Amino acid sequence: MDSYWKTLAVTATASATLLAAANISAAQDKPPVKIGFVTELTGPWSFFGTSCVAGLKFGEEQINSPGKRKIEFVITDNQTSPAQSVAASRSLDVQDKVLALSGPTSSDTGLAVYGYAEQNKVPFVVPVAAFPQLTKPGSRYTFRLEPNAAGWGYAIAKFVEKQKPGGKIAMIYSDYALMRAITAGLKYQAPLSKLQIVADIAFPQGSNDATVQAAQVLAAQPDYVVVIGAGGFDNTITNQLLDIGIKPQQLIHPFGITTQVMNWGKRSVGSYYGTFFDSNLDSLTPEGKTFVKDFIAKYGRPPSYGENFCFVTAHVIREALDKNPEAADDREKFRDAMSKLKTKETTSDIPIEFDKNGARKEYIYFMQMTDVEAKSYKAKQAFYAEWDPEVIPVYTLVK
Amino acid sequence: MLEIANLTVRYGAFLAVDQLTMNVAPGEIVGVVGPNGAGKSSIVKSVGGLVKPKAGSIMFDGRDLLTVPTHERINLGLSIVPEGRGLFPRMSVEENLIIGGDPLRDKARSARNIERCFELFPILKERRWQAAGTLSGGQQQMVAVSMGLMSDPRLLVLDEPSLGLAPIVIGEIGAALRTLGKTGLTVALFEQNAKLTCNVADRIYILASGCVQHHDRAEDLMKNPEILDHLM
Amino acid sequence: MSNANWILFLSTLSTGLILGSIFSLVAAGVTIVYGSIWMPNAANGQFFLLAALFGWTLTVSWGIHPAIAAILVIGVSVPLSYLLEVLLIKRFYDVPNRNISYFVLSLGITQILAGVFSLTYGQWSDQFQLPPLITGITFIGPFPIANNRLAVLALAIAILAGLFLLLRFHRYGRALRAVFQNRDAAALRGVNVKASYSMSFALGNAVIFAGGILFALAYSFDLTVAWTMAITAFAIMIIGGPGSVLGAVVIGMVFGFTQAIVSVVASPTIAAFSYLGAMLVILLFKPSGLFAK
Repeated sequence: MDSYWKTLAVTATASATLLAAANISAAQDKPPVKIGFVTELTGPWSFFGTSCVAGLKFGEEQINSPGKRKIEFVITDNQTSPAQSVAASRSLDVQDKVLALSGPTSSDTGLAVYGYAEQNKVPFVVPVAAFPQLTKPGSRYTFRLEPNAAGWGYAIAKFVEKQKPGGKIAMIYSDYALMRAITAGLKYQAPLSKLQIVADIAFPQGSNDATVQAAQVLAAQPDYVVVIGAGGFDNTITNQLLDIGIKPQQLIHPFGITTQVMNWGKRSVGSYYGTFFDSNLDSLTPEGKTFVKDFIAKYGRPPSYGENFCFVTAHVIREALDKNPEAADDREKFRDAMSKLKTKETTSDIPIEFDKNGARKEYIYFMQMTDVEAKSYKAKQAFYAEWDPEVIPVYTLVK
Repeated sequence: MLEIANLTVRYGAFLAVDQLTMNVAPGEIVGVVGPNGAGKSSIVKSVGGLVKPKAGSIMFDGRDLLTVPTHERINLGLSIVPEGRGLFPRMSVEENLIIGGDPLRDKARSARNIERCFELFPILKERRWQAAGTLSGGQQQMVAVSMGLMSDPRLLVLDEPSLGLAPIVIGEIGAALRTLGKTGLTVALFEQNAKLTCNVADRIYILASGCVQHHDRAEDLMKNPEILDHLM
Repeated sequence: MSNANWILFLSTLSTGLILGSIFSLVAAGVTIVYGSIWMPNAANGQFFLLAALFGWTLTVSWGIHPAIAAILVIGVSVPLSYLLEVLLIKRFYDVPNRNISYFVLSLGITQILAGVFSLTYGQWSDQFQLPPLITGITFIGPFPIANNRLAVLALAIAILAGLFLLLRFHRYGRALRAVFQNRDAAALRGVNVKASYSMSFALGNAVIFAGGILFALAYSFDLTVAWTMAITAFAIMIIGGPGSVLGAVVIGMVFGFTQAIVSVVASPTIAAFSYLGAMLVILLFKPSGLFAK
């Protein structure tokens, strides 16, 4: 009796092992799943594209553990140009026959790939691009990890409402699509949150001085100043506001990436910035902590939310394919798999699920800077908000 | 002093100067007259180094000028006032003269020369702070000649100083040139205006189509004005 | 006037002066080069950025004091210009269609530099900021101004004054202007024209580099500043009259003040195209520029 069961158990184990081995070899024998990664390796946005690829590479290493079907990211430069993004998408679709597209980190290039993907029915996973229209109603193949920018504006209003009910807000920003979307959300939500907008100053692209506008902001006597300069101008505005006597505690930057926070420097300690991932978060998972540690070891600075979303993109695709192996060779099935997916950020356990347009259940952290060193900084969590992507009419606010 | 032999200047297919030979001896004023297109300016530019001749030689004090870079020729004592006067229009009269005296590398001497130019053309002293480009044509020509004199040259080459000037002003320029001749300065005057040239020069070359047509002492030519009329 | 109005007035004034003096420097550098060799260098903006990025490397990466860095940056422009001139630009002096050839060459240099910057600096950061020359804030009445910006303003004006004196009263400066105004006559008066090309190329670039490093000391910047500055400097040069340093300085100041004033009475967006609009109007009535002969 004993021996019978033993034999059976051994046989069962053996055949299970064999079966598993067969599975492994079946998975390994299949060609890798290709994902086209169109991003900004050159041009004005190259910093974001290359940072994103850095995050992605950490993810790619982790998701291709032995025994799983390999996922290969075909990384292509779009030169920060929408036209080049479309050309690269086409070549990845037609020649490389990729399962899905991903990669752009700017809204302009993102929208270009979006157009191609939706038209040609290629699933498109957007790691970092915040323009609302990327998930406008009727979008079917696009899935976005980053919350949309109009929603950030909503969240800023919520934050100020909590900090100072009835507060006065000044806005000073570069006139880019992203900034317009954020301020549109803020302007919409401010009266609903019983807040007052006392200054609304937009700068054209290529501006380099804001001394006079800093004085205008000061004259408007706001409780909080929302600062969104593009590139180096962000620093210029920040410094000039501080020069003229605005306190760091009054500054809110809708988003802060590592280099930006370090550039704001010691004099900005006390100011707030929004983010979707930060090395100083309380809620980092063990994987998140490892990611931060490994990233610092390799690049000498902590990762920002952009690198995080690209890192997470690799994991999200892995998970969708693990749950639906047949989706690896079928774009429609992969789309359905993404649409059904209910998972969490690998690094911070925040839920990831997409609505019918591919927009994510949205969230933001507001961090307060507490210290800045040469190659690192410290910040503490000051506010967290989650909201439905259409809590405000984002798609009509920002066309 | 200046010996030009078999000089040929060509612009593409156009032959501007054809195997021309002429010379200027120390202390004399030599006139070269000829109509527009006779090749006068091409000779001046070859001497100055602004144009590279196709053939021939230009010797200055026994030295082969063609081997001397343009900007160093002034240091040999050769000063050229080109066609169109060669002024720096947005600089003041005085600054133009200072530049003219720069090859001397001697501020005191340059300042003395400026005073001498003001003696020669008193009107320039009044206009010394005025931009050269805003002066009348005659005054501009006075600045041009003065600038040519500033470097204490041994040979002064003038290209068309009478161009566009009123007869009375031409007379003044001529008088100045005669004064200069008396100081022992050697002058080569390239002119369309035969009357001015005959009044000033000791010896005259008559030029047409890049060749010397006739060559004579000025006083002899004056005696045969029909040759002049004919050749011009 | 109330305090707020004083602050607005003084901030407009200081902005006009600082921006204006930096615009003037860059445009003066551009006009010195263009005025002497008469070949338009499209890469001016990239040279400006190169100076700013050098300054960033010296101060932020190597920890050199910004004042020493500024001197090094301006100093390095001279051998760099000389090298560029010998290797590339000299070849164009005697080419018949040299203007367009050189312009295309300089467009190439622009693209190459932009690519190099994007592959190197572009991956290190999206924005750059130098440590201040001096710290602290001075109050002018109710208006606080960073001492660093006052220092930048003083330096910019000092460099402009030095440049002006050099061109006006030094024999080299006179020779440069002589070549601007009448190249052949200058050669006949003993000016080595090709040497003056080299010198004006080096001098012009040194002034552009000075503008770049001072800009970087006063403002944060990113890689796009190259384009903005290239367009601004060309516009100033054209309005001021190519080759006229006085024109570049006057119009540079006018641009700085226009930007400051229009941005406060209208909006920064209108200010950005106001001076380009002014350029069109001026060129319509005086195509050769205001200070050209």
